[in-house]
Amino acid sequence: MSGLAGIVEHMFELGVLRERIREMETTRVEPRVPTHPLFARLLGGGLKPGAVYSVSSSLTVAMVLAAGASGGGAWCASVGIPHLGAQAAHEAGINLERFVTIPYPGAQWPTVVGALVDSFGIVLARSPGDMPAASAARIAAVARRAGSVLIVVGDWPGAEARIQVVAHTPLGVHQGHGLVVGHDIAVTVTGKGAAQRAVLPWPLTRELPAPPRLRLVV
Amino acid sequence: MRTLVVYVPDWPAVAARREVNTTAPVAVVTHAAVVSADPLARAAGVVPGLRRREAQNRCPDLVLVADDPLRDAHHFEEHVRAIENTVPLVHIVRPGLVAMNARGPARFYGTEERAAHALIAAIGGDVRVGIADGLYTAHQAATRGRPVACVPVGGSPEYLAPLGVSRLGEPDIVSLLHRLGITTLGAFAALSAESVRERFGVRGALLHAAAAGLDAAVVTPRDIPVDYACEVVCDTPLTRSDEIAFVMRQPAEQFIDALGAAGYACTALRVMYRNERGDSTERSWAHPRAFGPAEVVDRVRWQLAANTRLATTTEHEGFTGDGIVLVRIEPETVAPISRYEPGLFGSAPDERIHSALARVQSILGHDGVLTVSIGGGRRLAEREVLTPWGEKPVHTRSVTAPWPGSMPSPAPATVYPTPLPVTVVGDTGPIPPAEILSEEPRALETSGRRRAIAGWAGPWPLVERWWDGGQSEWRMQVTDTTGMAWLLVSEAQEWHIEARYD
Repeated sequence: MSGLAGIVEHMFELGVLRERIREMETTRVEPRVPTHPLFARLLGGGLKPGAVYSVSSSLTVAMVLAAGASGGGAWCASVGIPHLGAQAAHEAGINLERFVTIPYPGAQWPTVVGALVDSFGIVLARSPGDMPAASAARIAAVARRAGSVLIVVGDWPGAEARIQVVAHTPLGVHQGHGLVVGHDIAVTVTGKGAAQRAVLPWPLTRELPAPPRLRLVV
Repeated sequence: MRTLVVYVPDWPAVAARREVNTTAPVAVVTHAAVVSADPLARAAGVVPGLRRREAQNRCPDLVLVADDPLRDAHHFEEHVRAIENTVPLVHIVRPGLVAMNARGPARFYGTEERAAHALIAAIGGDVRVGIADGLYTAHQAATRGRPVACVPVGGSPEYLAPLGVSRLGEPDIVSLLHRLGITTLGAFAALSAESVRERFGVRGALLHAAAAGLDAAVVTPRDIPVDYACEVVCDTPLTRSDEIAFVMRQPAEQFIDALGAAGYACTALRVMYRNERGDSTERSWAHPRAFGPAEVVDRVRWQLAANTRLATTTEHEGFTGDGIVLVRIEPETVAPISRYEPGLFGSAPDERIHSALARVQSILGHDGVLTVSIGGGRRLAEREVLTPWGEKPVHTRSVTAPWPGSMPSPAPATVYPTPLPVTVVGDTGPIPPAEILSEEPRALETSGRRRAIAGWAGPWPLVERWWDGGQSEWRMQVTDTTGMAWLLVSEAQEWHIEARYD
């Protein structure tokens, strides 16, 4: 290839490539991390890769949020939640084969969460409460770079969306008889826009289980 | 698969000697250390792995030649032709090492030993032959001195057991094994395949299989869909091997990835290329374990070097003679990757997960990172089997056995590892656990905090070890006025909060 012809051809190619990049930038649809349809609807199609979500107090909600990604094959970790019920996680749809728990991170919370968001698809963590803003920003940056989702049980500065439980309605228990067959969890989702309200039925399938065999009616 | 391996000791040094034209000892070196030393150099105490300066110190008239795989491949070609005249269908593992299926030659020459001697006679010079059940064992047998070493059928594990782990040839794994106190292949093979895989990944699993005499490389052509073949057409004939290596890099990656996606690791492949005059050359290459993309490119380069028409010392370097217009790579033998991966779901965690958790474990201790599986038992905390990352869960109770008194679905989201003491209060005072509550419960009291009860269900008996004379314990569910549901369990006749439905 002669020098001048080569340069001209290069410039032509560069122009074509620039054009393609521009096209890709404008039409680019960011893939979302799958989650439960109820939350997918409220959160713009799914969880945003690299974002931090804050969930108030309800582990059920946190697990349901994480289950879509976990069921899809992502590795999932929980940090600082020694009381996370494995059976419930399984029922929510979390794949326990790809799940690890770090129950007591102690003072190493920021380091541990930082290491995990770098390689895990989804991380559930209970907020230690006294997070310095700098550490929080650093962890959020790692998550953004790695494209993983951090779900914090508790407050988090600058969360993509806050999911607050406003009411629990347990079903099936009466005065001295019955059995918990599920509960309705009313949540409000506060994202970038206005707050939205929804009710999450639990269990997700809401099948009525058989009554226990040894039930005593008083 | 019975495998016969032809091994030319110190091939790089032997090949180098052909080009330096000297009677002095010859050694092939990289920038730092000796790679290969010819017999004269060895007699003077120069061995592979020795530092360059130390080698010159031991043998002052040593001729040092830079390492060049292309030179090795180029000169080895004449040996390959000699072998192919004796036995067709051979696989070149690397210059200096050729493998073939032992069955055909053994039948043709009468016995395996006779076939081996026929090969040695055909090649001439210092050549060793090893015959064993797999490529790895046959290679080890060939390197151990005698001209012909034959490991009997089924004898690979015993043969390999006393050999040192350094023969695995992966320095990082070998040094770790030494630190773990595992010095022989037998001791390494005795470890469970699962723990080796968890600790060392797929690479370690392949080595472990080799050490146990079960290597994957099966030296036999097998039907593989041709779709996996990869062909590169060069518009401009390429004459330099570095150009070809550059062009082949990406196709080689796609080739290995496509096989990987189909669940195969390539253990032998066939490289074919055609030059601008229309001549084509084909050759099979075997790998002791499985090919990676870079190794595929190496084989292509070696084969080109082997067929170089120009054999003069300076010009042959990197020059392939006629321009190459087409390169084709076909898988010849594949092994299912699944042999080295644990479950159907490939629960073999990838390296990133491993390194992240290893880092966390280094901060919090081995028990700091736990995997969870669901076991048997009546109590909720009991059903959660927590196992430190990297260990295999030990289920002491069957999950499927009936556990009368265990709670039906839905499971509570919060399960306290140790139940929290609580007082169930009625109108007149605390209500002890019993089959029938002494009065209607009104509130739950935990360390000064009071929750009004909205509804309750139970108590149900939790029968544990009645044969030990253990007292029956009780369970009940309580909902409070904020809408939270609680699962209470009695322990030593005191109520405790076992779980919360939040």
